[in-house]
Amino acid sequence: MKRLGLLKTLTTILLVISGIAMFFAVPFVLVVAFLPGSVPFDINGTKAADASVESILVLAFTVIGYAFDVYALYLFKKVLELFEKKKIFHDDVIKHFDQIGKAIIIGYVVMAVPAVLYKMLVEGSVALSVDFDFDETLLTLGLGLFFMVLSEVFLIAKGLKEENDLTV
Amino acid sequence: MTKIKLLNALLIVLIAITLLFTLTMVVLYISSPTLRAAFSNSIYAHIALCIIFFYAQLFVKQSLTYFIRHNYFNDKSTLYLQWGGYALLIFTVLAPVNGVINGDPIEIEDIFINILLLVTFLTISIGILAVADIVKNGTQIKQENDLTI
Repeated sequence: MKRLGLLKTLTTILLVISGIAMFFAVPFVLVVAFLPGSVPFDINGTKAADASVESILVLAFTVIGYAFDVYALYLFKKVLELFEKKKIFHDDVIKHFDQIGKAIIIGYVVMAVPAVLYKMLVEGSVALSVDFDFDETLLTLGLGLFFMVLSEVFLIAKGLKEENDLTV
Repeated sequence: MTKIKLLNALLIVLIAITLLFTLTMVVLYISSPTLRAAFSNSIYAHIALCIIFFYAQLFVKQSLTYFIRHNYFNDKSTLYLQWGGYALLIFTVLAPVNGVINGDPIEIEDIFINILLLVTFLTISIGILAVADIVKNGTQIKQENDLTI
């Protein structure tokens, strides 16, 4: 439990950085979609005014997927707060861990599927990259599953603790 | 159990990719004089980082294997989770240090992403260590429970 303080600090830093990014990302997508002429810089080498509907949709889905990640981070912070209150094998912790896992996986799917479809249908590239992209997919799915497994582990531990507490 | 088995399978694929990446890097370095000249100072550090990352994944995978074999709570899982957490922490700290020592060019637009990645990996590694502590706690409860008739 001694690492909990450090973990909570890191999570808070990550949540603040992600929150700031989110704060700018949503208006940015709206500006790109409705007032593309007022964006003063290029996006991936193309002017915002020339951005197609498909690429704006991919951008919007990326922000939605990112929002799921921020939500997962927020839930993780809540779990750490429960740990600080010595509520370790608690119903809320189990529920939050499961939700964190689902949010990470859904967030990744929401971000990755439109991007892959865009590459396949708009850019006409169907090459599967087996470098960092593939590695990143496995890492993210692994992280999501890890939290869902943790939820199961905590559920079993909760049962054991209740049995233990009942035994005089 | 399905989720834990799926996670175990994913980790096996990830370990295989890390091994394949390391081997490809070594083979390319040996076979190409251009790459040998470009990476002569940093190749050993890169290989060392790959090996540390490989061990971090291997330890977490071993922990999951013991979870599956011994129905979740056991001492070996705790031990492997701790080792996995420490290995990932060492990797997370050494990777940027290696980049700075080798003088890797830092793009201004990548700084934000790099900081985010660094804090994320730090959080994951310390998270694994915290989970190891909690599993240890669970193992103690299970042992007490098993001793009670």
